[in-house]
Amino acid sequence: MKKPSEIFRNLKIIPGLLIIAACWSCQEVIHVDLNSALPKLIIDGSVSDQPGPYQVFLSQTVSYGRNNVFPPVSGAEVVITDNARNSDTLVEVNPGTYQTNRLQGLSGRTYMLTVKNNHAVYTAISTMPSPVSIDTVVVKSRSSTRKKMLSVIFFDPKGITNYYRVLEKLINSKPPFLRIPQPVLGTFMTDGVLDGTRIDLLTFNQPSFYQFDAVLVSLQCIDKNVYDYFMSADQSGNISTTVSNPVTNISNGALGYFSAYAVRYKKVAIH
Amino acid sequence: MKKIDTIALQVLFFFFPAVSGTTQAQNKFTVSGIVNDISNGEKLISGTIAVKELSGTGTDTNGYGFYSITLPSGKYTLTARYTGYEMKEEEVVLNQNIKLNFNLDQKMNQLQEVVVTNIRKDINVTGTQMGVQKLDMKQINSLPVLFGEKDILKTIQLLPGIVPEGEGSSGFYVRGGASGQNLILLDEATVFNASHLLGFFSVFNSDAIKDVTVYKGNEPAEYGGRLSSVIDIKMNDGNDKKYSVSGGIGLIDSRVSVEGPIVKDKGSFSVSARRTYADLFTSLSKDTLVKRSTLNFYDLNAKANFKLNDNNRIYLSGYLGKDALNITNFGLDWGNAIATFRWNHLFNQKLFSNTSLVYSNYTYNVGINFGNQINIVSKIQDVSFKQDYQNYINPDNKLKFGFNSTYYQFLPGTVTSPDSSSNRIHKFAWENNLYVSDELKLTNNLKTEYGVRFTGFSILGPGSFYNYDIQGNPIDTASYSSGRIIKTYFNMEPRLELTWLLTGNSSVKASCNRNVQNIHLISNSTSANPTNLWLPSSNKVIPEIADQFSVGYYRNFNDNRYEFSAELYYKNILNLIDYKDGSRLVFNTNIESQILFGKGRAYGMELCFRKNEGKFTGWLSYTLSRAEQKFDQINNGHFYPSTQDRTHDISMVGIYHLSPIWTFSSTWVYYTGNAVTFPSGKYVLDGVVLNYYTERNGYRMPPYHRLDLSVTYMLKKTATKESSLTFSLYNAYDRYNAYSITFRPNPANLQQTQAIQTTLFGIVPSITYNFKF
Repeated sequence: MKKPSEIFRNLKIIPGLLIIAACWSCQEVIHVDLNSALPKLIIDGSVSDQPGPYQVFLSQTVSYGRNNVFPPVSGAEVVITDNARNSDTLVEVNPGTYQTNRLQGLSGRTYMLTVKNNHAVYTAISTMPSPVSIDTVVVKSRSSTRKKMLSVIFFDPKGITNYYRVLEKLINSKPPFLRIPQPVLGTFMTDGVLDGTRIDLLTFNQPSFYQFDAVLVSLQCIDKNVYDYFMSADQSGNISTTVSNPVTNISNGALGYFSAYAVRYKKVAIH
Repeated sequence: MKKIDTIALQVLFFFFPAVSGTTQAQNKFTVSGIVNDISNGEKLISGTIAVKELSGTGTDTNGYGFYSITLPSGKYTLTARYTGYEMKEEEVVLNQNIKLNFNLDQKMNQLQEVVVTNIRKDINVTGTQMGVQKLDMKQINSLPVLFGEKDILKTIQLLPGIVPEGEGSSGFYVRGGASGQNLILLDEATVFNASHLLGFFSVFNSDAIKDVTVYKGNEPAEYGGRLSSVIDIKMNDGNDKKYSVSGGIGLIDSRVSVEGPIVKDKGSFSVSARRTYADLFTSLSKDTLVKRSTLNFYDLNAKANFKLNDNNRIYLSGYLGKDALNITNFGLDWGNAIATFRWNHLFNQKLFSNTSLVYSNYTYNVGINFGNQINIVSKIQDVSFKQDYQNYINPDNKLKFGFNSTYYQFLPGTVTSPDSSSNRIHKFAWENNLYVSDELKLTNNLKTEYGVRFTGFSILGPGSFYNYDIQGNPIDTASYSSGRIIKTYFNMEPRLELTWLLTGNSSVKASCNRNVQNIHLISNSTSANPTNLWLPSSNKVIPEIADQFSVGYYRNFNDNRYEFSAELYYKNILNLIDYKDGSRLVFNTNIESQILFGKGRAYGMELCFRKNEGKFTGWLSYTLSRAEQKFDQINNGHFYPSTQDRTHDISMVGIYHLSPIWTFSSTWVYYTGNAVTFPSGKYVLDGVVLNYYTERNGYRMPPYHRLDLSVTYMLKKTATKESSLTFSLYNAYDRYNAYSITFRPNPANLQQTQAIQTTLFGIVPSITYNFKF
């Protein structure tokens, strides 16, 4: 049983479908003169309850018209601390990729990320929730039977507000459906009125799967700030007049997010 | 409420003894009556009654065709005029009160008249109302729009100061105001969503409509409730002399109307119906998704009226319409249901009264079926009692006063499913209005209409009301029981208009108005959407207030053959609503947490030049304007352009009557695009490329322009039968106007992103067959 608000974000596609229905409509690629804004820092960091190391990626924005090559930000000072007086200064293992040394993520702890770059300081806080296991994953057909989508079933703990992020990573595919996996931000939901019930989350916003695919499904429990971030980052169908940068939990004007999450996995083979 | 009403009447009786009808000094007598169309009995609204012997003395018929003039005893010649009709004269010997009706004949060569006109030839110069436009329904035939379908709301958008929201939308912006700031009335009932088919058509079947009056923000005190405009639409009463059937068969929809007498000359009815079959076309599509979609709408207009006696007439009007859209697992249906009951009563020949009982309901229902059926229902409903008086004291002084009381019920989105359903969270409100307004001729050259409207908007229980923190999370709740009045907002709306006749054919007008809006259309989508929500004011959401000042110059040339007008306006808005960055409004149970309050201002100049007579008629209008707003939380508190800011707006309309058989018409429109938010960069997160935004509304959509052409061929026209064929070409030079521009990864090269423009309509031909017998 899905949270209806999830579904209705996709109602934005209805005007889109009606456009196709009006037989004379068309879409074309156009050139739009967009400003080149000053580059902004992106911080993409997370800590999980799985064994480390954990990573923080620093990069920059680029002009819209250029290729998707995003310059990494090197030489920054990146530190993660928790509320049990542990502190870990991350090491830059690749340009822009900073990795922890010994920090171990634990549910219930609050983690703080501090990034110092170019005389500016950025901080973010995230508290790691308790994990929730995946009970089963059911394979369902889309409108065309060759395309499949997954329904993730789990039991929501009663009495607390839970925020979930579901990722479905294609780890193997076979001809005729051999392909490179397409990254997505995930499927998000909160328990709401379904608190304490058995939840059947149909992840129809993820790309379709095909026969012989092997998929790694992960159910992340995230905190509210990270949930709010991703809910405002959903840009599929952006026909809103108030579209804007997502609500970040990072201070001082950086983009991106810092998430302390607990995760459980399940492997699925599509027959 | 009743108590206030009685006190108000007593105050008025004290100051205006003429109201009680007792003063008969100087032997004055009253002549009054109704102005009708002789062929079908339709009452003519805003017709002009003039007294030949007393230049500058006269009056207009009201919304029910009624007029009243009080003069010293003597012999007079009264003339009745209405555009498109032959003038009639009657001599009266006024030594007692007289009832005199006028039955006017339609002009034989009426096809030479213009579509949008001011009813009296020089009323654009002499009438007090500025910023008012009336549409002459009989001639709206000449301007077909998309799919050859006549549409009042689309025609209104050709007037200066009024711009379309965009293609695929019935919404429009008046003087820089958003679509939700327009009050649309159908026989006094509010129409909350005037769109069919996601906005491609409006809910108004032109065959059923008699009169459309548009006020661009400076309406008189009897109207109120929205910041930017009032569109007052009145249905046909029906032919009270003989039965008549008319209709049309078109490419996308068909319509039929039946009207006739209930009792000849005493009562009549009119019924019109319309149905679309657009889904016939989608079934022809090659795309399987589109092929299995259905989209259709129907609507039904019905009206009946009956004259009980010379002083009493009753009316019953109704409208019912529904749209349905189904695409695979999604279903969407929505519709309006409206009913009004009205009673015209003449206390005496100088005091006209109308009592109305009004019901209006707009509901939409979304269904999703992915195994489980989930429904979301949203509804707004109002029930209203209105009492209006018009006191024709003397030809220089007409007093209007009245009150109305409305009970609102809102259901902003409730989710139901077979397994669980969230609580139905209704909201209730009670609005009371009291107004008084006077039309006064100060001197031969100076007229004024001044008045005031008092509004009280009360939020009622049962319900829960939240206070929110900065992030929009509810921090505390207060619950109230049924019937409790939680909060009342009182507002006073003064209205003032002055007309100064410079010469016989030119005038200057000035006006200032305050308009208050208590219920708000909540929307952050870039196009009209049935899921846009009406929300009442509450403890957090306060009424929006607009103050508008305007001044204009009007001049007619060549005996009213040509008209010119120039109007300047300035509008200041308080408590303007906008939404947080990244706001989520669709089916958000805490919508109030997404709302921000700020200021707005709009100013502009509207120029219009019209040719009213001859084989070729038409108009050219140009509006230069700016609409901007300021919110602490948006764009660092600087003024930024409103979405509906349209710098330039040009409309050109031309109608050529080659002969009684051939009529050609064309329209050309141009307007600056909406202010929009586009990305100014991009970045990657978890492998996904996201857009980077620097400001809201920092960019513009490309300008929109379009040419429409049509030709009407009269197949047959006799006294009893008429049929014609209309060919039309929408977007004749096939310009790909942008409906939306979105940004996404390039599917052919994932290393790149691109901008995609969606166009709704290229060139669209259509043909419609119209008949009447």
